[in-house]
Amino acid sequence: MSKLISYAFCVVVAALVIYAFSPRSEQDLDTAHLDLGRIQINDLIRVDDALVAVGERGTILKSRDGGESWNATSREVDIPATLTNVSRVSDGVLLAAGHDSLILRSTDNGDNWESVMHDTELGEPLLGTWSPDGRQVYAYGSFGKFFESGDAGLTWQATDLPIQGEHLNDMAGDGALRIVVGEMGLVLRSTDAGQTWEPLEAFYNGSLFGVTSLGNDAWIAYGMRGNVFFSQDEGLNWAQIEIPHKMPLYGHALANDGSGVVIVGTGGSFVSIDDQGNVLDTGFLKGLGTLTSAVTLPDGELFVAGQRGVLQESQDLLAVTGK
Amino acid sequence: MSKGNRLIDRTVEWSADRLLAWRKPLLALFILITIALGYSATQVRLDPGFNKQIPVNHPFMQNYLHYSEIFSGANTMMVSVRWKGEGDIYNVEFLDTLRKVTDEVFYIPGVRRASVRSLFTPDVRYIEITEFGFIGDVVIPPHFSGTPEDLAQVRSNTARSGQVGRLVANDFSAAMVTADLQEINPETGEQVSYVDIAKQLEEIRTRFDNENIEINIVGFSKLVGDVVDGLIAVMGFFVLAFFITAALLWLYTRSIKLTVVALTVALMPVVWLLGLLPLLGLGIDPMSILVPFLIFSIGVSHAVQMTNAWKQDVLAGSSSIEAAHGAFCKIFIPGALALLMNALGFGVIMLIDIPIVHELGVTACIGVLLMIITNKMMLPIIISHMHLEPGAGKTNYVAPGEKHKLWWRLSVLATPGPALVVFAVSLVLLIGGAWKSRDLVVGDVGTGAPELRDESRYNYDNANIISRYSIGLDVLSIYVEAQGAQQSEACLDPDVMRAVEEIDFHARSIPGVQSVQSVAGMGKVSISGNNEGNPRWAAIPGASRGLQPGSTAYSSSHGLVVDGCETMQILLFLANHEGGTVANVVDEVEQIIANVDEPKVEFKLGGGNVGVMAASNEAVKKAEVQMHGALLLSVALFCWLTFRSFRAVLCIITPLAIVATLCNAVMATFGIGLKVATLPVLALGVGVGVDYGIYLYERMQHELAMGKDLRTAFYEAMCQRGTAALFTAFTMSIGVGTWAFAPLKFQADMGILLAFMFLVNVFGAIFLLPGLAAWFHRSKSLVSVKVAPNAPTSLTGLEQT
Repeated sequence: MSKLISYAFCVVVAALVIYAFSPRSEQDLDTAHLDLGRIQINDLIRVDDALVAVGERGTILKSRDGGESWNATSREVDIPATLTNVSRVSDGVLLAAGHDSLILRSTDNGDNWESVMHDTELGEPLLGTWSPDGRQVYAYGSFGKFFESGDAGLTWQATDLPIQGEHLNDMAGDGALRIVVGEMGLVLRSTDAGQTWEPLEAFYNGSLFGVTSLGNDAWIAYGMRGNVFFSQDEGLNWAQIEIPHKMPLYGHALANDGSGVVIVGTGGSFVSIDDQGNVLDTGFLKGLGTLTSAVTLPDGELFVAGQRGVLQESQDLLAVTGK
Repeated sequence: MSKGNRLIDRTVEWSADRLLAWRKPLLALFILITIALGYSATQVRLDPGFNKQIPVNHPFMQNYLHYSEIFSGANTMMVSVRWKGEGDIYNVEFLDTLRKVTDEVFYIPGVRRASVRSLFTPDVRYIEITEFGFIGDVVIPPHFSGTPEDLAQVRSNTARSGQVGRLVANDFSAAMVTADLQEINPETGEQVSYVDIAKQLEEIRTRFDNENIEINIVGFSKLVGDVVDGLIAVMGFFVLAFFITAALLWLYTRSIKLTVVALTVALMPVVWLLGLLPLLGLGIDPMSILVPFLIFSIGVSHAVQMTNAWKQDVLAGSSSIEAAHGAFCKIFIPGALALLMNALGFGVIMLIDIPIVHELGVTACIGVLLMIITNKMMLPIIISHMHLEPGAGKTNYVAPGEKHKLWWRLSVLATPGPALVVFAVSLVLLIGGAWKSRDLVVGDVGTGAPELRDESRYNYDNANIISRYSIGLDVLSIYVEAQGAQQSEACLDPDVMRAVEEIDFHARSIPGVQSVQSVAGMGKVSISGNNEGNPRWAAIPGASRGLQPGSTAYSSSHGLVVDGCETMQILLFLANHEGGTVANVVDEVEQIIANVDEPKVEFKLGGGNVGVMAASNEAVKKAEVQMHGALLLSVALFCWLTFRSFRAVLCIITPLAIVATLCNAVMATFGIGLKVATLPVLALGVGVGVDYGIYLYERMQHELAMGKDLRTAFYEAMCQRGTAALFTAFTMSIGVGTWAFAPLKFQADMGILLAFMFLVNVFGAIFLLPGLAAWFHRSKSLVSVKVAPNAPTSLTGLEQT
């Protein structure tokens, strides 16, 4: 018995010591994790109540709660080409365009995607798609690439434009009017729903990165070094809007009630302009880096994305409406 | 007892005779050796080498050593100028200071001038894409005069320079000057002294620090400077520990002579060791500087045991020589055994495959083995010449027939009942300890340089820089070999570049990674810059043609690629280098690399200081169990050879194992990580801690052999050895405990741990050992009773405590 006690004690001690020195557990690895603040987002749209963001290495993210949380979406083939643009074609149908002339198409509001165009020979990017009616779609991009689709983006045909291979950066339309802006002050205008295109006499020699209609024949275009231009006659004549900074501007969001636009760009810069072309507010959103895109949430808040992904360090952003 | 043991006893006695017969020539010889080695000790040099901390056989480190010759720029220093006043850095006072600091850094001898970068250096340019194409110019305009327009110009140039997060803080509260150091100063042809550079950096700080400006400096050279300063402070602790020990010794012995003798003899192996180091071509580095300290402490411990035995004999009426003879006979076996255990403890440290630890092991081993000569041979000779002063020893004197009250009360633990209580307490402690020890972290705990304390100036600076910039000094390099590339230049091969991009893309998301630099990332910026600066162009295209506009990024001047991109590196800047972060980042990076399906490239880990840490943490992790296993097994073997009893081995080993576990728990509690600096301490602690058990058990065995019951045997052992053991445990704990205040963090950690090990080991030996012995003894006597006692072990007449 006494033997047992002493040996038992030693055995228990040995067991505990072996337990203490056995390999200590590692932290569980969360390998699927992506830091959404460190992925460059190139475009962001609002589709009903959801937000869809696209960007670096083919990242497509979707949020159903106004940007609080994001999910990666799935697609059949994983092509690591960076996406530059996402746009809504019709109910449920979204198109994402990107480098290597990649076009991805979704029919379920961005949950699943399939590739409809991909060219690895040239390695040059498409910079956007735009649809006036849900069936006809335009795709535009680098070196004057311009494609048209008559079946909501399933098949594409190249179209020649009266230009010299300038990059086409953005496109917008209002009724039968369509405007494409691009490199070296290029503004292409079509008044017959895209049948014929006519370049405007250059009013600016830098690149224009964005264009949008503000309604009532008012248009706005923006580009390098804080250059913003306003047109009140369907984009025929443009006047520069003076803004206090010289930051390049890359994306915009329209106010929900159409009363104005917020344009965002390098260094978190923003400029808020009403539909008459008056500058309402300018400044910098701190800590967000270069912004590429913005949307207006249903409650009027601005949500931005860019080099620092879709993580908003401050929810205290400006409201677009009512300014 | 067995015949073998009697043979040992006879040999020991013969040795004692010879030793004392030749005591004069031997003493002269020892003194000569001491003088010679003492002279040699003045040649000992400080040898803090970065490469010594590298576990050279780890695959990471073989890559690191190979590629660190290809990619330079590892030895970077950063001087950050922080604006503490109103607003941001765009004001005249700040920019003026930044310019002056840039100049000062530029003129530090040893700095590679071309590598100095700040907003004021001509190679830092902004690029603006305008209507007319690129405009590139220096950030600070040449005509800068501080007008509001100029300041606005600087502000917008900086934003366009791509330096925000690098040379300029993310929140515009600071800007830095970076520079690389050369190993050889080209002007003098001499090795650059880090200490001198650290001094000059400190001068810059003193010059420019004011109420609006704070200077933060980090870099390996500054760190070495601060560590060397810390080392000098450690010398002060040595002196402090010496005087504390002396005072305690005097209180204990009440004899100036004995105090002086014990201190002298304990210093002897330190002198011999320091003298031998230059002869062996070794130096002292920040880690092994503690060894002389430790040797001194152990030396005191053994000297006290020997002088104590001698004093007891002298008080019992023997002459000095007889008493020295007796003390030698009694102490030599357990003492030499204990020293061998110490040496063993230091020896197993060498299982950790890191040169600096090997050196520590070798140094400590030599030191302890020297002690067998100084403490076990020289000391008896010295005390044989000595006469005890009349006052000494009368204190705490227990007359024959009386009992020392405390020890007699304590000896109740050597009876089965109370022993059970001790068992229960031990188990509770062990369960708690085992549970807590699971939280032990391999690697560093806390941020900043692990050598220094969190609140040290260097770590304050480091934290300041890390929180303001996207880069820092905690870097993991991933090396990339692109051998199978189709293009003339691997950077133009989209498969290669996309593979690099994939690593960059995923590594950025790893928790703990602040930012990533790769040729893919640089390439994207260039490509975008060539296309109107549009960020949507910042991508790696799937064709070689699309990659060409990025060519400015593929230059070797950025330090990311060489040889036309055949060899590249990807840099991961980490927020800190805590053990958990490092392990996690390395694991995730390995997984990311495993997922890259691209035969043209091969990714290899891992350089940078984080690569070194990952490798040494793995080496430590691997060595931990091996080391403890080897240590306990060899202690068990030695004990068995000496005592020829399996139960004796258990009596000595069990408390040790418990203490080792508790020590892990203490580390987890105090936030001390298991790393190169602390793992050896555990081995030292066990090696030194086993002394107490051996001294006590050896005495008990003799007493039992003379037919005494276990309680009495333990009581006698306590009287003769226990007091001395307890005294030395306290003395050594206090001595090493003073390190807890050392400016160097790892020395403080080592001090706390050693103090804990010394103290708790002695408790294990005096509380748990008798209990175990009691229960083992109850079933079957531990030692067969020997009626005819032999001379040296029969001196039981007088006990003095």
